[in-house]
Amino acid sequence: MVSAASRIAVRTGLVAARTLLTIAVVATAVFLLTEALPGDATSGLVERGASPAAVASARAELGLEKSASARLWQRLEGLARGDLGRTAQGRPVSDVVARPLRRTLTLAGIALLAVIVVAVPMGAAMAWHGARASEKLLGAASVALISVPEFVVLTLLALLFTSALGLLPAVVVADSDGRIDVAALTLPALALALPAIAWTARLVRGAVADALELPHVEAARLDGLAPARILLRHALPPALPAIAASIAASCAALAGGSVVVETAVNYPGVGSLLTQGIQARDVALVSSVVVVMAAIVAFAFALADLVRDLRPRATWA
Amino acid sequence: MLTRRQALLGLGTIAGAGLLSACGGSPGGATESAVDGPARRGGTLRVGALGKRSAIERDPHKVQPNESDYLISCLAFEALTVPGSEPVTARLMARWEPSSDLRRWRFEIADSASFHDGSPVTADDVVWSLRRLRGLPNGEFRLPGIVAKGVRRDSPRSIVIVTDAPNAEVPMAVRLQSFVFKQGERRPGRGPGSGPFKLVSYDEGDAVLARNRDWHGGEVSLDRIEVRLFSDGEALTTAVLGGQVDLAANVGPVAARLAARDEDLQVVRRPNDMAMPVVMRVSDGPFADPRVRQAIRLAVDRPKLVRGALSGYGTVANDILGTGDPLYVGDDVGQRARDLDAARDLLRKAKFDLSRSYELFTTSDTPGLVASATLFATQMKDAGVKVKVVRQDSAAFYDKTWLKAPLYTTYWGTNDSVLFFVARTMTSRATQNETDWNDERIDSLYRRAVGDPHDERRLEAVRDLQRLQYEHGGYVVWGMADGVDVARRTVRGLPRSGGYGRMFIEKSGFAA
Repeated sequence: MVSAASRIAVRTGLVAARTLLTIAVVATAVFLLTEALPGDATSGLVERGASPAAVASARAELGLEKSASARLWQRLEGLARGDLGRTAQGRPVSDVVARPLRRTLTLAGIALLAVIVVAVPMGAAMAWHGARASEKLLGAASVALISVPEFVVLTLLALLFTSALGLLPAVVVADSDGRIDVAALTLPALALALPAIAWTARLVRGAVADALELPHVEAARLDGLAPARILLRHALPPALPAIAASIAASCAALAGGSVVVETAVNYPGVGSLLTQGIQARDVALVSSVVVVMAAIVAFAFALADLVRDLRPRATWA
Repeated sequence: MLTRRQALLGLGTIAGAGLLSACGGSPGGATESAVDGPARRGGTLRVGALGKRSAIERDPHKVQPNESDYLISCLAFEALTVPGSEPVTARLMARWEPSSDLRRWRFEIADSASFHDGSPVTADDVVWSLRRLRGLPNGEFRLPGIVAKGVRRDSPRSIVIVTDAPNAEVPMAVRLQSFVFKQGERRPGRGPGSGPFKLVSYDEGDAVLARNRDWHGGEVSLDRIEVRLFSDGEALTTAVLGGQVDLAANVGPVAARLAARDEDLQVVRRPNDMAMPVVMRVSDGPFADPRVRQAIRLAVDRPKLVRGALSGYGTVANDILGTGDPLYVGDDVGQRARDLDAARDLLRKAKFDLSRSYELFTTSDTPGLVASATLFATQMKDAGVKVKVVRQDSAAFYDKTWLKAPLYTTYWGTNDSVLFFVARTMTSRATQNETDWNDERIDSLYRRAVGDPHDERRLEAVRDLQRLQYEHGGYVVWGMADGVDVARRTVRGLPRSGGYGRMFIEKSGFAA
């Protein structure tokens, strides 16, 4: 018992350390990449062809006269203190990012929920029925969905739900009180969720199929237990770590997809903020958004790892 | 709710805008031109405008990269003068006149001009605001030729601007950017303005504005204007086609093509909105020989460029910038047309190296720019000149290419002033001398054009400056893009002038 508890504590510590290291590496990489791009954020602050004095003053305001290594250190140190810095326009990044982040989490959260609710049963069903024609068709459809980019999915969905059926608005426009209609989230959430569902369902199918071959599951099958009971009680637990990992991977996919989808539907989340920040060479904004997204994804992977570590091995060992 | 047809059109912008526009035929049709007629009192106009939430800037004196933010500034605040029916039209100032030596300009504040809190606009407010603007890093750029101490109070309702040199361009210099706040305003852009609309709320780039009943500038029909920020032009197109906004500001030809099929929509074309010239470096490099520049200009097929790069939403131009200026002479000097024989002949005489290939740098900063570069390169091939188009990211372009490369594309949104371009891009002191043209004749003509006390001599200098551009300049001004807005068909009174004139939508409204 003691050894199990300490093992979990050590693992948790290791996972936390790894997560922090990941964030630091991501922050550094994003800084260096943004730095390597030609041009800097001054272009957004001065007019085209402004006098050298105006450019110099804008550079000073942005702190660009310091060396890159000094700015990187300042950035990492700020992040460690939880200070995200200021945008090129001088607003605190935390203010700029807060509401868009909530919106992206809402949108991606809806999509993630759909992934979990749909992909896990779907994957399990595909594993159970294996060779049936309908399952093969589902499998082929999921391959197609995985290989299609989110914006294509979005366009096809809009063709169906906006053009053909006239049910949903194609882009997001806030009302005069700044509220966003939930119906407007349907298309982008679906566009994000469908490829992730396809991807996750295939991983779940693989994991459950492996589990179905375990001796105790075979035994349960031979005992003639109901399929649902076999899947839930016997096949899913051993498949859980792999399922958790694939859901964590979906979080990464949703984060990436939101960058494209948010811009296309005019949804004011961090995805579109990131695109704009890169165009403006706004290092503080870009690295903050990426670090926050990376932290969330890393946290999801850490949770998935803990699921693996904490699973009650004894029950089927 | 959307009709099916509107929605289908909207989708075209996502699914295949290029395809649709390619088969659209020439612009024209029932809904092509803006509708006119009286507007009723009341209504809320929902305006979609482009911008980036990451680049929000609410201070109208600072650089506002977002069209949406600038639109809000122009509705809630007032500059001394603005573009309108004339390049320089009254706004907060009702009248202005120079001293006979053009060194001292007196501006009178419009009668009954007052801030949204009810207090009258005073000379002190104007002087404070102009001096603040001049003191900002961009001040020299925004108030060219004006220094802070030259701006003085004249009477409680008038100011004077004194310049070091005679300057006929002062009313132009204070145009558009010279927003006036209350003296000592701590948060410019958030406090009261004097414009036709009051800012009710501002939320991450989206704003609600309500009619200012006491505005000095005449009757305003609309009760409210709601500005909605769109970070993507296609999303904005989809929104107007789907009826989610009433006006898509500056949304471009592709949207116009889609809208032209919808009887519920109108397309507003504003001529002389955007110049997209090709820049040839004059001072050195392959285009330094004036015969080479002339040959290139003769090799260009202008009507084809207008049709191809601008989808027909534009007009042919004549290598002179400032096409919207009442003093523009481009129509009098003879339209330069394609003459490949003459072009080849000139290239031969200039011993232009036809064996190598010349890089033409471009960006996708404005719609049609890349297409114009590609078409230009194709057309040059007909004259035996090999041009390779190099597309650069905007930041890279301004870092490495702009003002440096021998051949690149540029674009300009202020086209109603010949002297604006001369001052900014052609005199030897110009900080945006894109063609690197250093010609003593330009400098002396410019001094005369802004400083000669005799009206006729100034006008003559403005005309001569244009002839010089036509003969010797480094710009290939092949055409002018129309500004294209798409609006619900019921919207009335939208601005028709190119450039920043599009911001002044306060007199618009809904059909009676």
